[in-house]
Amino acid sequence: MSAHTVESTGISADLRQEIEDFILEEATLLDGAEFERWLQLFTEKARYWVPLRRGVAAPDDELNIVYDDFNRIRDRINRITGGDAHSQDPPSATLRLLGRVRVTESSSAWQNSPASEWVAHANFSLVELRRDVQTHYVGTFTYGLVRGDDGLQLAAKRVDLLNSESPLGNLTIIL
Amino acid sequence: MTSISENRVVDPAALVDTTLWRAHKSIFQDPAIFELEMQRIFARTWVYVGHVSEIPTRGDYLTSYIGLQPVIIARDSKDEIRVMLNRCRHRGATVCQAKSGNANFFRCEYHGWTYGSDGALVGVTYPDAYDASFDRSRFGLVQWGRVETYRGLIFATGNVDAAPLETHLAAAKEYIDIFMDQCLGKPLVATSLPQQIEYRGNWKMQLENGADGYHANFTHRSFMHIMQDHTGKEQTYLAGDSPAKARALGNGHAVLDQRTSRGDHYVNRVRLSPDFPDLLAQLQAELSQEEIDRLLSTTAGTGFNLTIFPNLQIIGQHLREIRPVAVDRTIVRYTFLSAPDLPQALTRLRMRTHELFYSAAAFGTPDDVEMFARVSSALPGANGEWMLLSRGLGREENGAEVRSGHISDEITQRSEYEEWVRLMSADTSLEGTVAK
Repeated sequence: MSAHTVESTGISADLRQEIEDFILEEATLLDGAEFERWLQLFTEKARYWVPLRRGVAAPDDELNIVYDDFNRIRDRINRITGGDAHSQDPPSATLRLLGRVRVTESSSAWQNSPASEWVAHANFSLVELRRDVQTHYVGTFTYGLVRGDDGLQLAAKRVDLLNSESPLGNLTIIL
Repeated sequence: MTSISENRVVDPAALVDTTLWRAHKSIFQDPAIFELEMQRIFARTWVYVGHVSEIPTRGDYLTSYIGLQPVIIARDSKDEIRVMLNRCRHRGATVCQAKSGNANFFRCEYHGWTYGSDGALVGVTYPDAYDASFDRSRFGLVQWGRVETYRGLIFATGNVDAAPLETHLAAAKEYIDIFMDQCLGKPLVATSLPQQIEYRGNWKMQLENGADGYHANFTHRSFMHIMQDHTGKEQTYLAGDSPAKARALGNGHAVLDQRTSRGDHYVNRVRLSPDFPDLLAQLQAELSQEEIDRLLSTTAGTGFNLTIFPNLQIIGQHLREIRPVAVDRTIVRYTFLSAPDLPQALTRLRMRTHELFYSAAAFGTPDDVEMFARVSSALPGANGEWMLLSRGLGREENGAEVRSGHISDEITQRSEYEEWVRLMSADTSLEGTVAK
């Protein structure tokens, strides 16, 4: 994990609440399969990253499980909602539980990430249900946040899976 | 030739009908057949175990498996590559726990026996309890038959009398050469951790699928639609009238050669990479346009999918090792390769292109994994027992060494199963020929 401190210094209670609400809304949109609305949370320069190697500092010189720019996030959504992505037929249902949200003022969610104003972290426990089988993922979400015209936006989202280096099956859900 | 396994007679040749070309579903399902495969295929023929760049310096090692057998692939203190059983000669515990690393010794932590990087037994704790007849030189780690490399690919066979690796590779060699020379002749190196995929299904499903030119337009329809969204063109390079070829290369090896039909499809994949304009500009600062064009033409892959029977596929920019775990469970290990001697922007572009199609979360691999699960879920029951492998049987073109057919023909699977039948039917007297 990155070296951000647990302390939420310099963050007002109101801002902290706003960020927590935003993050919970983001999780709710994904669990509700509201992918188009979820995409609108991102800035056009945003990145969505799922590292392969545990604890790595930056995605560019790594082979990653996912490293999407905005276009590739949109392609990802178009693929799984387009009706012919067999790995999502039948579709997965997901439910995620988030741990306590930690917020810092920070310009980067990871080394050379798209610029942010705040960075938040939350551990997660996510269960996928597909064909009556439950698959459990755990890890940490990292969010790079900026203030847009209509409220908070995601400039970066990083997902550190506990088992990223282990054999993985069908991981076509959006984390 | 038949064999008794689990008190049942298994007749491999009866399970793959090489006249009608069909395979009985029990080859995906029967634990006795799986057990026989581990003995007659994985313990006997040349099996891919790793790439030399994964153990570049003396003392480097990988732990892996040949079939179900845990092995250590090590570069010893004399720079020799060894494949040894990861099993103490005393009471049988594994002696190496990490996935990879560098070590002067392997120590069994059960009772403290110690082996050199070449496997020699160099230390027995409290040795006075063994009398003079105890000969340490007989109790080194078991060396796995023979080890040979070709163009950086490390293979091992448990059969000390096997034909040389280069003979075994047959007509696959020229494809390996093209793949290894793809980056202006600079050496290819494993620049990343291996990615691992796991699926519910038999190991031969991946073997068939990586040599299957028929499935792409259907299994990967969603990916083809994404490409069509970006290019405005229907992706037809693997269609029924494609000039691309499927070939049987001898000894079970096979290739899907799309170099004549891929057109700009592969370069278009590269262009979809995040940061493509920046990375291209970085290449332009250091390389000629002619060099860049050559490199971009292979950034998504060399234009063919090569299968080296039984457990290696060379696809895209990676080496794909098929690792059987159980009759219905398989792990696939992807080793991504790039050329660190060339600008780092190229390696980035190759990784971004790989990430598009190949990972548990990418736009290609999961749909293959889904098909393996669907085949597996339909195995139980007594009806529909045969799977057809006859597509294109009537239009095979016989060459001196190589047989060819249309890209969508099952000539590649027939090549694999011809070797499967040959090995599975072999004389059992050779079983267990791993050197002492």
